[in-house]
This record gives sequence, structure tokens and C-alpha cells, in this order.
Amino acid sequence: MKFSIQRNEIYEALQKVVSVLPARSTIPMTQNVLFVAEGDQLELMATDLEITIISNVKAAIEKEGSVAIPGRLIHDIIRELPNVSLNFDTDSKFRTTLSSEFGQYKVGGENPAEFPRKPDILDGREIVLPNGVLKRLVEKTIFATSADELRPALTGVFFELGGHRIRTVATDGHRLSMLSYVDEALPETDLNAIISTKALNFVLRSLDGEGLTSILLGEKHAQFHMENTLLYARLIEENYVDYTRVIPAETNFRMTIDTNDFLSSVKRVSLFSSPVTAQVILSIKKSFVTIHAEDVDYGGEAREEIPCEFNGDEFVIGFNSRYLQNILRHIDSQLLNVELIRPDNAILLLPEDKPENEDQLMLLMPIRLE
Amino acid sequence: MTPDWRKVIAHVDMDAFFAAIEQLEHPELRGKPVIVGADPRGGRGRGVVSTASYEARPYGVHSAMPISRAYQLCPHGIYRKPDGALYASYSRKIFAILEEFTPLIQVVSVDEAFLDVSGSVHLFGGVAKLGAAIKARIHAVTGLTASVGISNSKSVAKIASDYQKPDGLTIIPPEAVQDFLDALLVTKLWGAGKKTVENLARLGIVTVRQLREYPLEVLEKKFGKMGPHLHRLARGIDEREVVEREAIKSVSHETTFGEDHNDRELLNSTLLYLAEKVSTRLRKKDYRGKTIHLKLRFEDFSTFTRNKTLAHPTNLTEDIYKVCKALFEQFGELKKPVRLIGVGVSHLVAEAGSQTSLWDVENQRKAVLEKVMDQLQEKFGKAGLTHAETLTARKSRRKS
Repeated sequence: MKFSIQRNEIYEALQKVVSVLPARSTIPMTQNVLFVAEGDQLELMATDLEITIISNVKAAIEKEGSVAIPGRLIHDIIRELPNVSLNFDTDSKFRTTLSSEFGQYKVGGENPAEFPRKPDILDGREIVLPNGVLKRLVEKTIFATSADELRPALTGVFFELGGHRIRTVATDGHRLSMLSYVDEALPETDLNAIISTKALNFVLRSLDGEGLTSILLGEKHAQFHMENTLLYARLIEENYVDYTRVIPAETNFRMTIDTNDFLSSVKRVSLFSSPVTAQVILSIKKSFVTIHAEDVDYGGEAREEIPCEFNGDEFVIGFNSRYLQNILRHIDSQLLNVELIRPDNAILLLPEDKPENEDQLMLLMPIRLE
Repeated sequence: MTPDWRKVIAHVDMDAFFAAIEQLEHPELRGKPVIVGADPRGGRGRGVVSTASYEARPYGVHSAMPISRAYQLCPHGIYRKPDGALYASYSRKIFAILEEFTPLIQVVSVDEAFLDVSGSVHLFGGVAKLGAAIKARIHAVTGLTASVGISNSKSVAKIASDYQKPDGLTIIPPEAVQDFLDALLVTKLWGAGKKTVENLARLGIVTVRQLREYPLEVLEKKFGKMGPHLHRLARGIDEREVVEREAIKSVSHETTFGEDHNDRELLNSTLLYLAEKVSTRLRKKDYRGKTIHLKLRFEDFSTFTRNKTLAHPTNLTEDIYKVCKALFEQFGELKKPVRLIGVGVSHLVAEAGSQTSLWDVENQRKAVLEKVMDQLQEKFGKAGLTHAETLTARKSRRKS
């Protein structure tokens, strides 16, 4: 294998794949990045066996071939070089020489035949989404995933397709976030997958610009095809919870409030809440809501009143302010509708304005008050 | 400063509680050496003695002694398996009596409690009359005898209740505390364990007086925080309050097998059985716990513990079992047979003020089911209703 390429170009491609390299691994091969030079393309591939990322970049290829090279080392040396032309040359024993006007760096490579193969997706179903939509589908839900290994399904985002609609759902049992997007081009038949937060964070990082992303969903893997980047994620093979059961069909009251005012107020007041419970209490009245927090141990206390519209008389409910803030941060609408049932039931948060074809719903469970 | 009766603390300790109940319930056992504890199996049994009646004590049998040793010392003794439910019913009666004397009661165990009677002692005509009244009421209602110690601190009251056992009443007025303590061996101090006593002996400290006169700095260097604490106790200073209900920090259960085992199926079903016991207790006390512990002791007595902290506290058998099983699997193939297995839950939180969950509906259903099981088990005993998987564990324990 022999090729030359500008430093900035290979560095950008390498950065995309190198972050997937596992910090430690029982399989030494996965510490490598696979280089494949073919036609006028250089393909870089790295994997931690859960996620595989492939990045493509144009290069002047003199001799086609491939090699597996220690990923961090090659990344670190290229990072330290300015934007000059770099030449790569691999001998028959996979020893690879990187040369530039600064000098020569030799690194022992490995037989590319031993590098883990990328997953085969047979009978996959393809959907295509604008990058902006995919970004929202992931960003608006991923924060609500669970870290609880006891329920692996909840550590990922649930992708649910059917009826020309794609819906993403994430929940950890305390809050639930759901975003739906409707498009005639989306499949009518049902199709589901749970994708790990780790894979989706890589997807978010690679989603730049306006373009389109094609998603291929198979039995065991999903493939995200973005511009110059291909990502394979092993699916979380579990049944997702029946989340529809926990979404209340009917509510008793509605509060309408300015999202930003609400968030700013909760942020300020929660500084005075007990660090253990992070509890803030909302006392909602006809035209205003009082947000109150108290730290009994240290004597701190804060109270604010902000305007709202409420169709009940008085309603008192407590929340973990971290959860509440997190949810409010993911609502873009200027006005927010909060639907309430009883102080020990979930509240529904629904944005008043939303992009066309889109539906957003969040649920938050309260803290049991004494 | 002259010591005074600023506080009046009574320590009530039932005499040979389990054995005395057995003798009360079975008149033919009266006057005979009764040993409540594990099955001695002709000297090959493996548990320990819970309680030995006063008739058994001259043979050298005492509680916490291996049952096999007790059998060697007293082969003709009458060995009884503990009847927890029966003892608990007596225990409830006794605590109800103690409440007639003060609301400030700290339950130490089924047969032992501290009473802060500072506010009520005058109603009973003074310390001596109060002590006698407690003993008399217990005897009148249950037929059992208790030993009572009264002083101005928990530590001295506890030592005093043990001073003239059984059926004793020992009052140590504040001005007599120091003389009383000085004459004792340090082994009598509450909190001085076997190791501490050995280490004190190495410094030439055998009596409380020697401890009291020993330089504090040296004790602190040798024993850390424990040094000054013991020094205070030796001078009769103990500021600890009678706490009505000490916040529990953890709940655990463990079981020692009759024979050592490496049968995974049996061990797993034992885990389920223990998880069930632990979760039942958590639910009874309205607690949930975040950290689940597994303890394994192998035949060579090597002991290992593993734990896992969950994202959310639980009190469901299912969750506790699931985690324990996973922790157990981390041990891989068992190279040595298992002697003891234990399950615990710590990081407890009370139900109030806790974050509710979307699955509460589902969990509540499970919790209701588990509560119903708790109640049925209380009524019909453990064998009445149970997770089917625990049956293997039960059967094997019965055999052993």
C-alpha cells in the first residue's frame, strides 16, 4: 500500500474513527485502525465490536492495499504535524513508514486480514432522513435514557417506525421523552430497534450540514450512512417497555407558561434546594406559580413567583429540579403546556409551537411529598 | 464536678430469654439444661448456640458457642430449635410493658432494651421502686424474669444489668459509678471486643481502673478514636442518648449450609430465598435500598463480598435476586464448595421524599403481590406460599 495525502484531510477522517477505539481491550487488534487504499479513496475503519465507524477520504494512491496500524499512535503523530503532504508506504510485513518534509516515522502494522470484519446487514430496511430531523430525533430524547444496567433496553433510544412515521423514545422510569416525525416517504409497515446512546453520540458528532442520512436497520445491526462516514451499531436486542401504557390518556388540569421564564426560575431556585433530593416545589395558582426550594440542613431557601395560566384552583407538586431543568432545556417552543392529573402522577409537557410534521411529548414523575 | 442523676437510664435484659420461654411453655424442661440453637446432630452439627438455660451454664455452655462444642460439654442437654414466632410474641408483650414506664425506649434486640426514665422516675417513687416495678410487671404478665440495671448512662446501666444475673436489680447511683467501674475487668466495658481486650492486656491494662489511669495520648495512638472512647467509658462518661428507633442502615440475611455445596441451582434458589427475606423486611419498614451485597464463604472459611449500586432504590425480591445472581455469576466456576451465603441491601432511603417512577403502577402491583405474600407467610409460615424456585433451597436445608 502506498499513497499520499494532505495532513488536514487524513486528520479529519482519522478523528472521526479514532474516538471509537476502546481504552482497554482484550482483543489487541481493536486498538488498530484499518487503512484500505483503493481507486482514489482511502478508507479508515475502527471498531470496539459494538460500534464500527468507517470514514472515507480522497487520496493519491500509488499502490492499492491495506494494513492495520496502532490507532492512537498514528492519530497522535498526525495531530502534531502541520498541514503538509504525508506519504504512507507499507512493506510486505505490514511495517508502515509515514514520511513528510519533517522526517520519517515507522510503525509496525498488522495483517489486515485479521482485523474484525464490518457487520453484514442482510435484509435490512432503509429509511432516509434529513440530517436536521435525525439530529432532533436523537437530541430531544437521548438525555432521558437510563444508566441502569438492570434494564439494558432503557440504556438506548427506541426507534419505532410504522404508518409513515418515525418516533424516538427514551425513558429511565422517572422521565420519558418522545419525538415523532411524519413523512409520506417513511415506511408504512412496523419496524423497531433500540440503539445505544454511545452509538447515537457518534452519529450526532458526524451529522453536519444539511444533507441526508440513510439508516439501514437489520436484525442485529443498524447502519448510519452519513456524508463520508459509515457507522454500524450493534442493536440492543431486548424488548422495549410498553411506554404507551404510562402516557396518561386524560388529564385534569393545564398550566400554560413561558418556557424560558420557567427554566430560568427553576435554575435559580434549585440552587437553594437540598443537594440530596434536589427538590423544588411548584404551587400553581390561577395566574401564577410559586417555585420554592429549601435546604433544611443548611438553612438555604428560595422562592420565586412567575406568571402562568392555570385552569384549576391550586395544585402543589414536587420535582427533582435536575430532571425538570433537563426536560425544559429540550423544549424549543416559547410557550409550554403542562398537563396535570394528581400530585403523585406524571405530568405531561407539550410544546405549544412545533416544527411541521413533528410531535413532541415529555413525561416527568414527581417526588413524593410528605 | 460531682456526678448527678441528670439522666436516669435503665437497661432491661431478659434472662436466658429463648431457653426460659421453652421452659415456660414446656414444664417438663424446667430445671433441666436447655440449649436453644442449631441441631447438634450428635456433635456434628454446625450452627451455634442461641441461648443456654442457667442449668446448662455450669457445663460451660454459652451463647454464640459452636453447637458441636456445646454438645461435647453437655451431651445430655435438651437441644431445641429456635421458635422465632413464639419468642417474638413474648418480646412484643415485654416491650408493651416497658412502654408503661416511658415512651423513650431503644430496642436493642428481642430481649433487651434501654429506657430513658429521667422524666418518669419520680412517678414511680424513685429509682429503686421503678426498677422493682419493671421486673414485677414483666414477671406478672409473662412469667419470665428480667435483669435490670439503672445508672446515669447507657454504658453503666448495661454493665449493671449483667452484674447480678439472673433476676437481678442493680442500681449504680452517680456517686458510686467510679468505684463500681474501677473494680471491673475491662472485658465488661460495653464495646471492648476480644481484640481490644487483648491489645489492652498487652499494655498491662486489665482492670477498668488501670485503663482510667492510663495516659490518654498513648491510648489514642494505639487505638485511634476507640482509645478516647474507652477512656471515657472507664470514667463513667457516656453521652449516648436513648434513641427510640435507630435509623437502620442496612438489612441482610445469611445462611450456613448443613454441608458445603457447589450446586449452582441450590445456591441460586438459596439466593432467592434470602432476597425474599431481605425484601420482606425492607417493605415492612417502608424502606428501599440502592446497594445490593452478596457474601460468600467457602469451605476453607475464605470470605468474599461483592456489591452493586443500582440507579434507583428497590425493595422488590425480583430486583434484589436478579442483582445477587449476577454478582454470584461473577465468581465464575466454583472451585471450592460454599459454606455460607448472604444477601444484604444498604444505602436505604425512606419512601417519603423519594422520586416516583413511571413503573410505579407496575411496581405497585408487584409490591402489592409481595405484601400479600408477606402477610400470608406471617399467617401460615414460610412454607405456605413462596417463589417456587426457593423450594430446592428449603428442601436441602431441611435435610441438613
